[in-house]
Amino acid sequence: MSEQQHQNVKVYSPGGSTAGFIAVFKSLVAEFPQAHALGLRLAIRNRKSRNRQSILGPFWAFLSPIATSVVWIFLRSQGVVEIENLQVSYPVFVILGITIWQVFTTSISLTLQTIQANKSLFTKISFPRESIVVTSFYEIVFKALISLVIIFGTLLFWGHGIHLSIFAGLAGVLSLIIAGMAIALFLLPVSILFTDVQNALPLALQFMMYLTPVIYPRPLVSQFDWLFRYNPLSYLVTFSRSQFLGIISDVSYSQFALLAAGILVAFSVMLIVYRITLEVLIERMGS
Amino acid sequence: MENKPEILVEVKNVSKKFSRNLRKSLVYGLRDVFLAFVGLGKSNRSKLRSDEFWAVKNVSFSLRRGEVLGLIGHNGAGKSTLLKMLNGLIRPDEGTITMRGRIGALIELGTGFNPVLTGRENIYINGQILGFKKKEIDGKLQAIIDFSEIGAFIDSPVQTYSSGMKVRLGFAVASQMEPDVLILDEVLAVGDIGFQGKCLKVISGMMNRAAVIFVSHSMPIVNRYCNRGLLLSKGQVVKDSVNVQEAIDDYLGAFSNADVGNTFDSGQVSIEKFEISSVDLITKTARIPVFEDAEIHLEFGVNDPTLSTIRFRLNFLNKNLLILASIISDELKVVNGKTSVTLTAGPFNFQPDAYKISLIVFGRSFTDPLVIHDSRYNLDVTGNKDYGGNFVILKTRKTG
Repeated sequence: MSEQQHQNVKVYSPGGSTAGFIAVFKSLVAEFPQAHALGLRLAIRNRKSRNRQSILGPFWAFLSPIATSVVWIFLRSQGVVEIENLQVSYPVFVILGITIWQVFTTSISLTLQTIQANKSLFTKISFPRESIVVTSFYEIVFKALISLVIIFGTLLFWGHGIHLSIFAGLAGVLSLIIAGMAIALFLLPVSILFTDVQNALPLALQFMMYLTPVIYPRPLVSQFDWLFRYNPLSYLVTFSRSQFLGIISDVSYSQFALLAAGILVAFSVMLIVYRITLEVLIERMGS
Repeated sequence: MENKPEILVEVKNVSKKFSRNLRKSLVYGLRDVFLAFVGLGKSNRSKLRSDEFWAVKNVSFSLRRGEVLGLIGHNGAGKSTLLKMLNGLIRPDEGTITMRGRIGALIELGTGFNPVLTGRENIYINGQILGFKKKEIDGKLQAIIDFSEIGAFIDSPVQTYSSGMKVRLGFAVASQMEPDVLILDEVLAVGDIGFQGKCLKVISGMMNRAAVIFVSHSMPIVNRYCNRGLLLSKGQVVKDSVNVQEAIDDYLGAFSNADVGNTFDSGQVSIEKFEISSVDLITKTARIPVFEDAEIHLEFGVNDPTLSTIRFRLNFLNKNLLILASIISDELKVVNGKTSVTLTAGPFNFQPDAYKISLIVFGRSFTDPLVIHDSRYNLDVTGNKDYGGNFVILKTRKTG
């Protein structure tokens, strides 16, 4: 019998996956190559099918941040709002800010959307669940590439040139993507069951944007300084923008490194939570 | 050393509970996860909380290579839940499931197809979701296209496919997987007869090298292709037999008391008595030994004075509700709002089994029924089961 015995033995028993954080983490790492290959394939599939359903394609991605920026540039030029203490011209400042911010919001919404869209796969096919997270990651990266085109275009158009510090800027954007995904995974269990999350999300994100120095620089003196001090997004956006611009930033490299490490840990924890809660959810999603 | 093929599927005392209430079920689920984390909550797994029920209760069986298990049961008997547990989609609350080898599952055909992409692109994606490598799919691509009979449409978007084409493509991908355990959930219901036959041929071809678990509501298919029958009822195994027909009989037998037929009653005629061999059919099941004649006695009350005669028809139906034989009466004269008749019918050379009887009463014409009792009455034909025929010759003569 031993000859015939398969190595491929699966045992399903109660509470197997809830055996503990470390066990789940280990199996996450072990299954990662397979999950990654499948996730990438699904991302390419989504891209392809979306391109086939759209003529203007990436143009839409350019439109939104530029349109928002134009509004603010206009408001400021008319003196409706007063934004001072700028190291660079306001259009560059605001286009970069909004584009970077949109990478973050896209990260949250796209992760939630992608997982939602694959609900029926979860309930019918047994495959590594993390591949859908991988898919979301690549989809966000595809979109972020367009954002980078806007950023570089803006820098060149206003004659800022490309500095070596853009790599730090890219790291900043990447950390925003991971942060967004971690938040999405945190919201996922509720959002799968209640549409309220999808309704509330755009509102909450817009509110967040005004609380973060996106369209204005962090004020030097403010009675609401704590709002910026305890908002990690404030550091990430400021850091990324300054690094792309190649100007001196309020946020030091070590501050950023610390934040990025924190985000990575949070994301890993959320991945484990994702795997465990998804099992509970699949059972209740029906078919 | 044993000669029997290896065990591929082992299910031991498996139970699964669900909650009827979505919110409660979520609260329970999250609480369970939390308790499991802190190492508590193992004790209350076997207890039902409010609004919970056992979808699968204490199911045990093992399956060897070469066995084709027909999993049958009513809607809601727990078949799909059991399959999902076997496939690892959901986790049992009690007991363990051990699966050996590569598992192929078709819970629903065509899951994961993207409608905008072509059939060819979808083959690759679906193959990868099912755990194939790209190279393996390259080698099988032509076989898949041939099997699916999609031909030139393979480069058209899947959204232009008919549902039959989607099913064919889905089955073609899955059947090329060469799994050790194949799980099929009612996937053959779609697709035309030609393709069903092709699928069944593949399934029976797999028997030699795989274990197959097969859910179907089509008893002839189960009977023909399965070499073992497992009947689930309310989440529990009520029959597990290598004699598939036995499980099927029990399954169909459970329907005999159910109210399956239509009823129409104009109120003009009432059925006062319906007896076969002196058994009251309104409350009981008649029994007739195979090949024998039976005496049928009917009494009607007629409430409509304009009706001078009525006629009735008796249909004898098998479990698939197919009409095997009919008796059409002569015109019965109504006297004082009453009429009755006694007939001898036979011989009942039906396959020994349970049957249904429909009773339809007509007034002036056959297009104008006054009473329809569709498959309401039960008849058992008794005798040796090995009698294979189902030719029915009924002769009637008026005896009363």
